[in-house]
Amino acid sequence: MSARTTAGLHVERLTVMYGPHLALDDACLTCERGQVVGLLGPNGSGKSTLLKAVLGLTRMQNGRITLDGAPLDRRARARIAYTPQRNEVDWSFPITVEEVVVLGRQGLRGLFGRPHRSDWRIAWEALDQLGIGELRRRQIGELSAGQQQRVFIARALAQDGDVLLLDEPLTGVDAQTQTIVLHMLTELRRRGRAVLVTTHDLTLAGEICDCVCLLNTRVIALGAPAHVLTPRALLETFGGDGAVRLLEGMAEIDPPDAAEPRYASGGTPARRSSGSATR
Amino acid sequence: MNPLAFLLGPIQFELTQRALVEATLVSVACGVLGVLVVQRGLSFISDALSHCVVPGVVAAFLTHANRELGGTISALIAAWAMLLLRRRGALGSDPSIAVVFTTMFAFGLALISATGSYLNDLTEILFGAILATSPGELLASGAVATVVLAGTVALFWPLVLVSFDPVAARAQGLPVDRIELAFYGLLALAVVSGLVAVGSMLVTGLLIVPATTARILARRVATQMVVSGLIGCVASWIGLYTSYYLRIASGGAIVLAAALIFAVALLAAPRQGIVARLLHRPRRTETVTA
Repeated sequence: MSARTTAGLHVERLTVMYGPHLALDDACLTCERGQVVGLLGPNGSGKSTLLKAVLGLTRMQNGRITLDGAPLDRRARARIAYTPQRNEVDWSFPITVEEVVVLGRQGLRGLFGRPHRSDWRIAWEALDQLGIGELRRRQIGELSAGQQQRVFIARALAQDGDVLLLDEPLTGVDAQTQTIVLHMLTELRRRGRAVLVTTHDLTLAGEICDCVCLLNTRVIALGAPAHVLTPRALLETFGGDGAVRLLEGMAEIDPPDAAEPRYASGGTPARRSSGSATR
Repeated sequence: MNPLAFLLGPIQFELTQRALVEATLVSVACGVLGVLVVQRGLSFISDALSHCVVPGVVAAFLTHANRELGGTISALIAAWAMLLLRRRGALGSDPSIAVVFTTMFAFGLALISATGSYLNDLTEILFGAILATSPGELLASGAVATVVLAGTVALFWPLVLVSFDPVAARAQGLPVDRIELAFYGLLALAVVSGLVAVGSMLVTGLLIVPATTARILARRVATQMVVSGLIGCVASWIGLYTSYYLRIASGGAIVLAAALIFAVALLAAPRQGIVARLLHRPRRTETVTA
């Protein structure tokens, strides 16, 4: 371990090419323990590529990724939990919610390992924390998009990693899920986890994240949300139209004098789906 | 004929006893593994693999070597080639598989046409001859089926994870490539184990039909595997009895029995059956007029 304080995830000078296409150019990022870092950028800006590089799923042309100061190897990667984007999973698979979550611990159990009783207990607790404990015996495909998202966050919790990578956790989910996920993020921060989350949602970035990284192939701005989320930096990241849409979405989310209360308690939609921000 | 005599009829001969044990082992192993094959949409690959064992079996025939060994080697070569083409090939998955299996099958036919008893040997390889097989061959094929069953059970959780969410499996540091290779190896062995029982043409039926039936009847992978194995077992018994009493080919009879069970399940399954769906169809017009 190096002498300087390196608790957490460090990405240094990461460059990734897909064939001739430059996906990430010299990106640097730090996600310390007890920090939620938001990764913002338009589609194809390299957000998912960055997560995949951390997970060892894509080849890096250049760069170094360390966890607590040590380079990532296969064992260290077992300490990184991750929620997939929707299109990576076979939703018709005959698997129950609790089985999905307990499989988050397969890396810890090894190739021939089977879930122990303790693994099932951890899986059930994670489901309870996300408010879907009673759905544990349902088939994964029967759940709503928001519930499915919560299942995968529960899987990441069950894996009990030091680092959590969440890929668009708020895209296309219901208001209740948004509230629960946001609460979970603050809870994870309190527990000293390093959380890296990609999002389109400026409100999430502004309210929850300790640090925001604006990404469009290269890192455009990195720092506290108040400093980074400036019209100028957003314009550079998303282009003119994209930035306007983002800011409009934000204004719609929190109108100064709305006709109906949007932060109503109970099951009414408290916040608009983050998908609206990119519409 | 009284029922007892009917049931005991085939069992009184050592030949048919062995055939029953063998067919049961093979259809249970194929049924269990078949659940993953069906779920992953690999029916075509499994059918292709069953053609690919032919040159190995023929080579073993000609050199008086072990049939299972020959079949396994040629299936493993084919499985490896398919996996490689699926990963690296610029052709796309379907045509690469088709090229591999037709080439290997053609090679097998060319080889077997060089033997004197061309038609007999060909029939036996393509359609199985469980009642005309030596005890040694049955033992080998039964052993292969047992390996398939044990391997599927031992690797159950990693296989489920890799089939359901391969990205997560890799991200968790599991050796995904080796698990995939093991899966294709088990598939190749399952195909080989079915050679004696139903022949290379029909072994896909043992892999796919009970598993598809189980999919209609059960919701969890593990339950589907148990149900599929049971269906395979029942089908092999019905098939062999039918084959004994009606004097029809045993391989055809076994797969036909499996298909019959499938048809019954398709009609009468509690939730997903056609009848259940018709009964529980929302009666929109009635509620509107009411």
